[in-house]
Amino acid sequence: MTNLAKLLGKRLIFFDGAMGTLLQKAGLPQGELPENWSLTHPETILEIHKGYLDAGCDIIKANTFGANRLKAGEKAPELARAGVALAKKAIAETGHGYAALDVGPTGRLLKPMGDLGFDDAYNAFAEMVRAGGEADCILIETMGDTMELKAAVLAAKENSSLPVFATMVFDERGRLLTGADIPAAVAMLEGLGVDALGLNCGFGPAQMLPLVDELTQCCSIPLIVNPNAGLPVVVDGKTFYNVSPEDFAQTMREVAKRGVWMLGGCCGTTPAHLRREVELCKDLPPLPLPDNRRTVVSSGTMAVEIGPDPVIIGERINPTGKSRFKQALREQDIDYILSEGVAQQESGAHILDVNVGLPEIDEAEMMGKVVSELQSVVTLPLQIDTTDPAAMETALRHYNGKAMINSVNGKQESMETVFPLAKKYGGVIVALTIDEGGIPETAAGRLAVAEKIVRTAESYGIGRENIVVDALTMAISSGQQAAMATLEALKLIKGKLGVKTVLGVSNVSFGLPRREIVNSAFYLTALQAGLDAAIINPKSAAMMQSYHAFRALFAHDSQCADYIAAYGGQEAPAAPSPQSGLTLFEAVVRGLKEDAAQQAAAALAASEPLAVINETLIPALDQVGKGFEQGTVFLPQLLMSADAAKAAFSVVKDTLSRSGEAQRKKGKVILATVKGDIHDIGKNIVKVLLENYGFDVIDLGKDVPPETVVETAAAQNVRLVGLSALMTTTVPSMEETIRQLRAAKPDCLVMVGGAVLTQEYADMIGADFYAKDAMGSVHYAERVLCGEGCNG
Amino acid sequence: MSLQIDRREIYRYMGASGEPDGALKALAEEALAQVMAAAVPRQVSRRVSLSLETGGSVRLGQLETASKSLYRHLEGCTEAFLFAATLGTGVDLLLRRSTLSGMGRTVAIQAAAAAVIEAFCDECEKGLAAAAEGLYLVPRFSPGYGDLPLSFQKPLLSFLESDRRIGLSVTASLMMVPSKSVSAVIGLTPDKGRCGVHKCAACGKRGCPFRRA
Repeated sequence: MTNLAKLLGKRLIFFDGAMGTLLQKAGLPQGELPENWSLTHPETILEIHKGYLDAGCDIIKANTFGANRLKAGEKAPELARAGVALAKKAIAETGHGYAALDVGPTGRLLKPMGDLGFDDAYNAFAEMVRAGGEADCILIETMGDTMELKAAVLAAKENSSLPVFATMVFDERGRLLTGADIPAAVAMLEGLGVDALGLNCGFGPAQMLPLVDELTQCCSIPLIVNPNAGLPVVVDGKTFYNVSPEDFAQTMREVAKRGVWMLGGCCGTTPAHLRREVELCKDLPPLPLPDNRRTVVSSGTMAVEIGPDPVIIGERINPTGKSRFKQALREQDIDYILSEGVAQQESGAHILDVNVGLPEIDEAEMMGKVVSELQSVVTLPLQIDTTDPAAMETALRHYNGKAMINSVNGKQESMETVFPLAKKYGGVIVALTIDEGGIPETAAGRLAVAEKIVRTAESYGIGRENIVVDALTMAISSGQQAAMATLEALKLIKGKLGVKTVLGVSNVSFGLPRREIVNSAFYLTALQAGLDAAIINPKSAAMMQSYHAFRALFAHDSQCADYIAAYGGQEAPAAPSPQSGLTLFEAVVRGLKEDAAQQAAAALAASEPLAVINETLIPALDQVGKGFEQGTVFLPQLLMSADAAKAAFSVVKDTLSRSGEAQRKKGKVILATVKGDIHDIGKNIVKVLLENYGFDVIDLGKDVPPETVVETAAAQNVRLVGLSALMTTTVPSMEETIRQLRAAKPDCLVMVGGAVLTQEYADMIGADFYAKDAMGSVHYAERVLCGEGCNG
Repeated sequence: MSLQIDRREIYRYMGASGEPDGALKALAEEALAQVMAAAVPRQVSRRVSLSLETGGSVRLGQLETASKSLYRHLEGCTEAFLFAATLGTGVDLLLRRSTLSGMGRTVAIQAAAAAVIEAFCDECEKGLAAAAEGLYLVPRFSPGYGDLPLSFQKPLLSFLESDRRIGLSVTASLMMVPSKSVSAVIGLTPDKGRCGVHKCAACGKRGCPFRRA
């Protein structure tokens, strides 16, 4: 630890103000990288640093904001080194101060929203941190995305031992550009173990006051506030900031009085602003840090606190006992898994458990993929559920936020594996009351295990607010006392250790009929006993009834508002009910999903599954498809019909798989949106249609490297590949994919489509077929994979 | 945000010509409501000097391009706004989530989002017009129009600092993320006669399926 760390809390610490603003005044052309000036105009940079040090600032930000490879290219490390060296030189010549390696964003959006990989962002930051290692601390600033922030913090902590500070740009609603609110960002950063956090840029000190208040409500570590000199005003193409040094400093005094320990400035602030700020604030003592240690997990958008209001952890993303889910894992059918996630969020879950363990798959790889993809469709925090340490680390590292970790137990080996990961990445850990001696029968025995876990966690620096104890639900069918023992242990542990509690509720009814009856009753009893979080199926009406009734009865639901929202007006029909009297054919033609599924079930009672497909579903699709080609049916209608047919097909398939039959597939088709392209709507349209027409679609997703397409085509002997590209900039990767396919698998045909493609373009890049719309691709697939009489 | 969304724009983006039926209209309304709930529209603009060089290049503040179409488009203009706007990442999340439950709805959401970002840009232009002080806005012109290369996206957005101001960045292959975003050059002219022209009329791509007469 440097002297700087020791200074924290002894007195207020002052950052400097703007660098860019002063460089522009000194003649830096807009568009030129300011970091270049560390090499070309070192004297100017030195003077700016000295100006701030003379004004009384403690920490000066080195001119390294954009000195990362993604912004500055090859010379990034040189710029980072030069920037830090100039700051150190100014400090040496002035005789006081500390240098911060200033780390700004890459300017790119990370996956899954953008195209920049987490590891690429990490590597860019890590290179910068190593190059700027002579600094006294690292300030990660102007961040608007928690995922990028996490990459930067990990890079800082893994490549240096300097104190790490992080500041972010929130909007007036208290949200980052990518959506995280203040409690979510704080939970993640505290979990990652930064030394201080706070706000910079965006707006002036006055607008930051309400955000400071919000920070002091949820943060327990030192705070930093580096505002602009007011809101930007553009005059004649130039940006000005109008808050005077006096007004700026007066408001910063108010900021300090609210408990902020480190104060400085950002865009538009000058040594004059900082000099006045130091004068006005330096005699204020730092307030004691508030204790906001609560049990909180977060996603890239929101934070969820566990207890006192009960929390539901959705249990459905788990292959145990679910053959359909196992099949999805084996076939890498991520969409199925994602749908389970979305459905649980819509049913009222607050956190989603994620378990993708299956002996025959690479769990770490699958876990990483599912966690990333899930976070692109649901906003809830996730609970990483695995016994594989590699899968656990991959998930925690790439997780956007502070995850829940399922689980640790009282065995030495388990604690030695899980606690270091939890300490490094942050997380709330589910602690199972089991150890080398098995599951203690008595409540006192389970308390002893829980206590051991909590104490060991503390020896790793993990506070008990980050432990949630699971007193273990046992099946009452195998022991009459089981449920009572669990509840007794829960109460005892909660009372003695002051920790939050969690239970996997459904185990209680194992081996019994109508399990929901017992589950929902046990859930209610456990809630009364003080259960804070329950791992349940949020799609179960009975469980949700227990949840809503409990909250209404025990004053967690003000004016019963949530209860009424859930069950009010249910006497009247809620959702649009399936229209009566429609045939399956009509339901598909009119694009009504629920009706189609229902009518398919009815049709199966009278006909063979294959007859339902060939005599009703396919003709209905054909009719809509013809209408589309003639211009009487529009694309959304075609797709609503396709969605309805898909719902019907899934009912038919269930019947087929129960009878051991399989629908004969017409052949495999690979679909991919090419490398560099992240718009996959067109590809997904083609997918739903091809599936309905009986093709076995291997969907490789978007931004797919040519090698992946070639490897898959060769490994699975696929004869038709469909590629989509939206823009002219990605057509070259389409061409490259075709070139590699021709070389590696000459018998494979390629059809292409997408907004910018034309027949001429398709010919030019060597495609076999240009699909001008989705039906075109179906016809082509039928022609080349089935020849004549394919529909029979 | 109160934006006037022309429903016919949504139908058009959905690929429907003529009067859509009730089911399609209901689908569009539902999609529009979802988009409005998910969108957090943000914009950034900067007014810059403009000069049309004799060699054919266009100078916009410190930016420069040799685009002939942009040159023609800005003839008679004395200054310009550089402009970018986005609906934010929430709409992309909505689109991905919707894809899981069906493509019919997804196409409707896609169409509604396209109509909303266009309407938001129109709304922003009203503010810019008010600040134009006696000059008039010509239709917005985006990278990818005519021969203005998509690669112009990079200097344009970087000049506007769109990544940290409104959360809009561009991928290595020059796609904007969030996907429902617009970047543009908007010329300023003393000639009032040019300001009423629709952006489609200013574009050279005659065969475009979304072109409005």
